[in-house]
Amino acid sequence: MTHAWPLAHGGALTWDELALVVALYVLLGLVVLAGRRSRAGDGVDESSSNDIDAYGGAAIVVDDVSFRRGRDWTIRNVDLQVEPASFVVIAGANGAGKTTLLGLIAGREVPSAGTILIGGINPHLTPDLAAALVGVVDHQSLLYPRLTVRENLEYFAALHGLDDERRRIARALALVQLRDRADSRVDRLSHGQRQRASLARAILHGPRVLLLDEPFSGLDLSGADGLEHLLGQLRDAGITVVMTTHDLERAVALADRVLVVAEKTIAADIDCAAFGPVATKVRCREILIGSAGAQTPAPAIPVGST
Amino acid sequence: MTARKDLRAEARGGAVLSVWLTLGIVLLAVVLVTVATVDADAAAIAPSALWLVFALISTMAFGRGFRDEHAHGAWQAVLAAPAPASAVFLGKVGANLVLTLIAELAVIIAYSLVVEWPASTAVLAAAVLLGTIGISVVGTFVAAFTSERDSGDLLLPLMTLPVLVPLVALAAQLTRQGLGDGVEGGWWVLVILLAGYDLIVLATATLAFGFASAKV
Repeated sequence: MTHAWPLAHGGALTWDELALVVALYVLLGLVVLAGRRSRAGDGVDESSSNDIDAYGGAAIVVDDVSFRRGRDWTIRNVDLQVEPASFVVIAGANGAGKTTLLGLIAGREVPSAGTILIGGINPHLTPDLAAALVGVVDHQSLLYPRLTVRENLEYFAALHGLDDERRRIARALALVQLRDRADSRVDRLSHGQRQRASLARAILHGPRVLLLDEPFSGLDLSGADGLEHLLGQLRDAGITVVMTTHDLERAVALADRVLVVAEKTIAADIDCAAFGPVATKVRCREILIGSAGAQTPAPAIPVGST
Repeated sequence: MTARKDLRAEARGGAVLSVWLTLGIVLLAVVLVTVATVDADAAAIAPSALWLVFALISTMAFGRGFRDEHAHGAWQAVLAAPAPASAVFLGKVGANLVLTLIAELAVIIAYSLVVEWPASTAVLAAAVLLGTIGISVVGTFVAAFTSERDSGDLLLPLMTLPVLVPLVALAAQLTRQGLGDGVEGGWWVLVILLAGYDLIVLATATLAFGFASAKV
């Protein structure tokens, strides 16, 4: 074998050995790429487009979407249109697919079949464009715990390429009422304050759509009341909100529509204004309890409540 | 921006330096004591031992750093933002490079004071800088994708160390010249080879990171 190059004390790397190392690195890269791509599902709709007109200007369109992990279907054949500036709650039992549906809309998961559009943009084809339209509040804070609230917002403002960073940060902090804790580290905030900081991060870039996954989880009464008030303000400001929650009381207080996810699809789409708050809650309970197979009868509707 | 954020978080109790301060120093001390005990030639063994320790400890430190990011979902939010993935990757490499250089310099200074003073600080500095660049690039790239997995602590060194073999070999040879044996005529060849390795891994990893972190 000829040496690739002579080294100081006779130790040398042959061309074969060098080729092996390069091949190992290329193989590593291919394995990583293959692993990422295999998570993308096996039925992405190649004909999907960014044509908002085809869907009548809806803020969110979910068109016959299904999703599976391995062999298990998490949701199947979900059709949904969410109008701009509306507030939609997705309710359902644990494991029904609420978080998966939200993750698909957010672009974190790729549908195994069907199309999702946000403001006419397919988040899986043009994720950067969709990222500017969507804000997400998750179970996790999506914040750096050892940085302050302000430092986190500055970093995410830079990631979004926002020019008027200071004004946006000030406005977000004012909206979530965290101005006095802006220079506190995130890991030193209470759960409710962390939730509000997360909301500030989500609305910093002025999204048209806000997706929230169980935002009231773990909050005490005061924190939940504060968050409910905030979400109401965002709804009144014209932001389209989609929220998953187990808290039907707050859901009904905020929502224009309640979607009940059961049997891996949307089992009911309830217009809260038409049904009224009590009937909406009763109907949700009927579907949720029915899908769980429980025998508990639905409570009677009080006279005069609708 | 990403590098500044990482350095700021590290200064407030991060993972990278804490791994170095604990495991790195202990491991190096064990290696050197073992060498002295068996009456081996420390000058011959130390460079290889140093670079093995650097590669292993850096890899573990980068993995811990990424586990912190994944634990609170912040990394997910960063990748979802419209900023170029390659820019985020380079920022993380930059921060890991700075932190690892700080730790390695501390180790080498301690070694120089206790064992032998460098024959050529310029050659030694070149070895440390070029070697650490390669380790930071490869370690950061692999840590970004393995630290999320349950077996990440096993996958990370398994995938990183074989790729670092040429770098460790070259850096150890250059370090030996810089530390004690004296500089020989072929040192510049080692510098060129190390720089070439760094360029190749940096270009490959930066390009591959954008593809690998995409959601399609």
